Amino acid sequence: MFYSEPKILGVSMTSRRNRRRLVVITYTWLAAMIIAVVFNPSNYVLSNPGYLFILIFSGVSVGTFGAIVRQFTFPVRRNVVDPGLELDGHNPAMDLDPEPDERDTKIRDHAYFIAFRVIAVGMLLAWIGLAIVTQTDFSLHSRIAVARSVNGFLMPFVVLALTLPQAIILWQQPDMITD
Amino acid sequence: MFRSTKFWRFSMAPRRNRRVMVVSVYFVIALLPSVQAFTHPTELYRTGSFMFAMILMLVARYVFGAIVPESTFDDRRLEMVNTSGPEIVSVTTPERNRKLKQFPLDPEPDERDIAVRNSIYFRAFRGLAIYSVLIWFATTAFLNPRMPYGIYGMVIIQYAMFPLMVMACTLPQAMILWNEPDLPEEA
Repeated sequence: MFYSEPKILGVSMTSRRNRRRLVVITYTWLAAMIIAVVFNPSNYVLSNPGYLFILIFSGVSVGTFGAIVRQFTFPVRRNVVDPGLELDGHNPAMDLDPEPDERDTKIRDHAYFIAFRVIAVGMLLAWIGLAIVTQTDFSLHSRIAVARSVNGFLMPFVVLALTLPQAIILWQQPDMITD
Repeated sequence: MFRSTKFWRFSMAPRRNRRVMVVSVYFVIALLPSVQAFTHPTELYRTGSFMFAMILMLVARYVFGAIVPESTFDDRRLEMVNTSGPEIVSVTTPERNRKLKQFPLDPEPDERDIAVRNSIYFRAFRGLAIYSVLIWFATTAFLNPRMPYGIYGMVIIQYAMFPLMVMACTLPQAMILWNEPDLPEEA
């Protein structure tokens, strides 16, 4: 499940406490950015690079979490490498992630089960919120307001969809045993 | 995993019947936005339609839930545990027996059930996550007031959000019903 001896900026992530700190720092930063973008009075959808920045940071978060634990949500295309192939004495197949074993699959599926429940409840609330904001008239001004609201409602769920299962695994798994 | 192998008079033991049921339920749900699109396209989220959509979700949950318990919002019928103290409670009253017969308690899921359920949730989450990211990009594009989509941008997003809600409420149950193999008939 975990890569061996993972480190983020020189900090060992073998202990659960450090991993939890990483998760809290990442989500605090993401939440602060979302709040800043949504409540920015000069915000215009697409004219403000804030959303793009959040998405990029979400990608970085996925990569940061991904340095410790693999992401499974979005399929990653992997080249098929002949296990017997050797290039300069190095087998490229060794660089690829191995298929998860039974225990890893169990941990992964459980994390996705929890993540789905969180996202589903949030989506339902967002749906009700969308229904409320779309009760307004469709003048140009209200369309801007509605656009902002819908984007603001959706943004946390996009971030969670990208990162939550990995964060749950990082949060729940016990300290790693190191040599 | 399964509560019952019957829905009304129909046996849900064969997978084919369960798949027919899933398709039928989703077909009925899809009728709402379709009818709305032809009659009042801009009013999918107006109060009447929205309430109707909510009722449809509840009906879908009830129909699927008659066969397989729902775990997202956890509707398992569990025994109420008395935590207030060693109070002796009669457990064999005729009224309670009648209720149990009508709405039997769900057993705790065993290891296989949990594995199947979690695996289904893993796949459902992937669908939900990929769709929500796509929706977000669509929202950003279609809702831009400077783009020439006008009111239709909002309408398109409303219709695109609808499947997301259906997925969030019903997808795991539907996937279990769709994927599990034929069951033995109840005696």
